[in-house]
Amino acid sequence: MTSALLIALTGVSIYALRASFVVAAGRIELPDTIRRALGFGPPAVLAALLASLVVADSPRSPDPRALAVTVVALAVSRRASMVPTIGAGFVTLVLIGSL
Amino acid sequence: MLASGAAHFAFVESLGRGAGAVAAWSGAVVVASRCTLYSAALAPRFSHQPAWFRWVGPYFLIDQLYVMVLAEPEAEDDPDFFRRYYLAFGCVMSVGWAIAIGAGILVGPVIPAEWRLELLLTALVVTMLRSVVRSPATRRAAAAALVTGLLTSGLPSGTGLLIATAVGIAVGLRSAHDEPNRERAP
Repeated sequence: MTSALLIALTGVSIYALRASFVVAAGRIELPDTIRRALGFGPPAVLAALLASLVVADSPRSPDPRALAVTVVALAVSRRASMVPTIGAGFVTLVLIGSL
Repeated sequence: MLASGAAHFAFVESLGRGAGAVAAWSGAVVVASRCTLYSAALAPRFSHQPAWFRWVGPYFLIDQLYVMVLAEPEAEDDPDFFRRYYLAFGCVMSVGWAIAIGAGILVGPVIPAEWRLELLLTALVVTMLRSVVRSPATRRAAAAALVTGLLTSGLPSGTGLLIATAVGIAVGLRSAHDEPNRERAP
């Protein structure tokens, strides 16, 4: 399989996932339990994604730098918006990298 | 081009590690499957939209856009506002995304590798997570997904991500079901 075909196939597959319910909007009625469950999708997905990032390099042990950035970001994001939080994460990585 | 951050990472990393085409494709699709949840959650807002927007809208549907839609209450009540808001933010994100990737390719080689700036993605996810955790039930859902995600991180092709998400949703549902009962309890 050529790289271009593989990239195109992956792109179409991901678009299909995104379009699945949106394109059918109004034509299908979701059960109440499913609709309530969807409300917990974003926090669950993002927390799962965070876990996968923290242990990306080594599934058996969390990356200390990723943990440090996570802790700093959690602390800063309590009082600040996205940009200062990412800025604090950047400073943390630079400081650790400079040690 | 379709912007899809985490799936992009999974796809490129799989190929970089020498994985086959099917493994790279399936890994990217599993990681991107969370977008199905976003699609289902936004479906009611798209039900009053023209057909062309229902086909174009999913192209822009990424984590950040979904969080921004949730953060704007007016986008729930006014279909015209929702469409303008969604398209404006989607276009800005897409252009900004392309510029940022281009800048990263240019600047990346001169940034010391020991800084590990790729880990900044965790800070971004933390800020998005903060914005969607708004109740005790969502907090428990996130905590359960985080712990499960850490425990299942060794599973192949992003399956740990799916399992952790499912556990988080189940815990959130259960918690929301229990909360009113606790409030009524003496």
